[in-house]
Amino acid sequence: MSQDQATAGAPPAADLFAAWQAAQAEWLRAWTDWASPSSAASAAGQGAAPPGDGAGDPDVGSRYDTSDATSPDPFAMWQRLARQALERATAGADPLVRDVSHRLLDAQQMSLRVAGVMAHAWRSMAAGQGGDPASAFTAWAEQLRQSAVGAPEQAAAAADDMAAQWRAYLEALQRTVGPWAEAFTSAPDRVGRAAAGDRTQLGEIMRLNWDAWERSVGRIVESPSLGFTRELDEKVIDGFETWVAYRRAVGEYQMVLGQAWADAAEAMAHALLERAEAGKPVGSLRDLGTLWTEVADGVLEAAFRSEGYAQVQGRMVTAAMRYRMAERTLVGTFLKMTDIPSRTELDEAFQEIYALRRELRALRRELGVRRDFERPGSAVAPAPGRPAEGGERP
Amino acid sequence: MIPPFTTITPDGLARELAELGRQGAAAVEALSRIDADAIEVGFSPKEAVWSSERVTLYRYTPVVASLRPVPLLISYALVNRPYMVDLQPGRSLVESLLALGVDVYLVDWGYPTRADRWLTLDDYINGYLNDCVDVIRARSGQAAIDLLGICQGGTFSMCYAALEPHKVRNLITMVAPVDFHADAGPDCGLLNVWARHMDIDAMVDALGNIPGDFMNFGFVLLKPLQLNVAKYASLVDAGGDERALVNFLRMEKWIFDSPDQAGEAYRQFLKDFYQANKLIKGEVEIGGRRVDLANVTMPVLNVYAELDHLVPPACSRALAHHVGTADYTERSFPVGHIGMYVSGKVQKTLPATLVDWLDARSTPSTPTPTGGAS
Repeated sequence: MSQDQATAGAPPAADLFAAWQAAQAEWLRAWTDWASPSSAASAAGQGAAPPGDGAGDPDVGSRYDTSDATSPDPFAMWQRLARQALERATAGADPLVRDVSHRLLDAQQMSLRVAGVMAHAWRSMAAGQGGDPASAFTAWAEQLRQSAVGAPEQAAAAADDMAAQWRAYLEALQRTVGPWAEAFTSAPDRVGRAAAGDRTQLGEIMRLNWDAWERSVGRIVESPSLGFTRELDEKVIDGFETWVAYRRAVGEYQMVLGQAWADAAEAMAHALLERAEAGKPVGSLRDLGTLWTEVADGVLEAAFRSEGYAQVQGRMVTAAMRYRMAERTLVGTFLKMTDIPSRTELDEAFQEIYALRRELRALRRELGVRRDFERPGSAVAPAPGRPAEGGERP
Repeated sequence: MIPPFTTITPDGLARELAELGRQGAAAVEALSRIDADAIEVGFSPKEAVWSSERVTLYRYTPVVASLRPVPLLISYALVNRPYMVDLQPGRSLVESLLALGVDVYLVDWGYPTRADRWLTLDDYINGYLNDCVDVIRARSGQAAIDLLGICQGGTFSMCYAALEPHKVRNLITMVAPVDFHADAGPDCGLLNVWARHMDIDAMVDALGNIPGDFMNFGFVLLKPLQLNVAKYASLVDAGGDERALVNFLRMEKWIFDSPDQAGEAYRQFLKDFYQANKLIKGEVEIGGRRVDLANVTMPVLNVYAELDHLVPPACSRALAHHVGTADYTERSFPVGHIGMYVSGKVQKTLPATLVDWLDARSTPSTPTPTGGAS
């Protein structure tokens, strides 16, 4: 089915419902198979069985793209089919409507995912701990935390992999300085030594690449001096250092966030167990979603309010801002070379305009307000500024 | 032995999924039928009576013949659009106030662009807000007007009332923070805690204006699952009810219609108010003039939301200890921050609460040669 066909007008509810139901049937078949006690994959926590080929509705394949029907992830299949149905239904609708509709779908999928995760957890605990709930929970929670947070030493090692960081930095630069960054992308082996903290090596890299610039564009626009080149090198290296600091801060933030989500999932498991032990197990998918929202929000809110979270988040934002400033400095340098106004220059101009606007407002006020305005019983002032032309701006 | 966490059976799950799917499809189909015009907000007729740069002062068209002589100016926060006070028929503070005979004005701060990055709190409070007040005084012939400040607009109004007390007849603050460190423990304000750990200078220097999306990110983390997931899941309960869905969309439109924050104003508000908590210490300076809340000598009505996560009650109620007036009143409602504007129950009682309070303090204002309500 082509994209045009998929978006050609909103279908009637029956058609949309049929597609939606077919998608859910696919998901259900895979999920029940995956959650079945006889499923080795389930017990071993290895994901789900293939969801099948859309047999719930023989026509679904003709209307929707089921080319990924052999996907090992039943959620992917369900999501894809449901999303296609959604896009058909909301084609031509207001963007806000489309966005809200997609969020509705996401919300329904969340309940399904929570059901899957909890079913998985229960099977893991039952299979591995001989039926002792306390130790089973401890083992499961630890596994959950490892998967959500990862090993701290691995995260630290990733952040310290300077060669990888350098490549990522260049990719980021590519997005902002575009073709200018191409000269840097052939970073030679020196990056290894530079990564170990030797700034001179990075400087050497920059100079090598700067030669490439001078040989090409530089000749056309009159290449800058060697001194300026070194200055640019410094800016690039400064940018790299802020990039590394930023990535480290992001890693630290992700660990804290992952910990919070793991705590939320563990709290959910505890809540489910309490209800089960009280003889009130969850009876519907919807109840499960409601419970997850209550439990997880409680845990996440507490985490987000903590000083620890606020500190880590603050460090990440600050590191991001410092990188942004370094990036702007670098971009500004390139722009200056080509006589294009930089962000900094525009800000300076705006500051001048702002000062003039303030003066103008003050003058208007002074000219428009009579001196006896403040005295009780005196005439009131005409309006400062100017009367509006009317109409609400967009 | 671990008991099963659910009694859901494959058959039961199939039925529930089918029902959810049917309801979801019906909701999506109903949503897709909604015309963009139906999602319009800010429905009460109004006239732009003055503007300066991005800022516009509106006067709402009166709906009763006999107006209260003293106009009321509503000053909303910079972070969201002010049409929240006039979201839709039946959920509009403005609509109710008009029906009760209030002459309602509203200052719309507009959408700052990069050119507004240097605007300061001095520009907003001593500049635009003061100009709006003067315009209304001139139009109405009243030497002083009533001022209703909401959220950050309430904090601005406190500052303004302290700086120009003779121009404010009665001050109403609603869900407005005054002591940014009053909260503590598990009920502390999320934004208060976060702000203390942000390098505001770095943010403003790097970004210029602070993007509205950045602010929204913080707001939706107040209740991440409820605000990002559950509220959308509940759309199936609308059962294709177009009216309910339109109401939902209006709220959604408002929530994500967040203007960028002018950089320098943001810098001062976050550093002086949120971080250093200077307002209650009498250390805030706006345009070189010290803001002393003891100068707030006019009657004050402080309205707060008991379940407010954005501005915890303690942060609002602290106003009682710092204003100079002997006529200080508090009113609270059992809702959250947003519920104060849109809760049906609150909207049934809040407007009358405000007007009754104002009427009890309705000694005629100093007349002027051009006086009288317009």
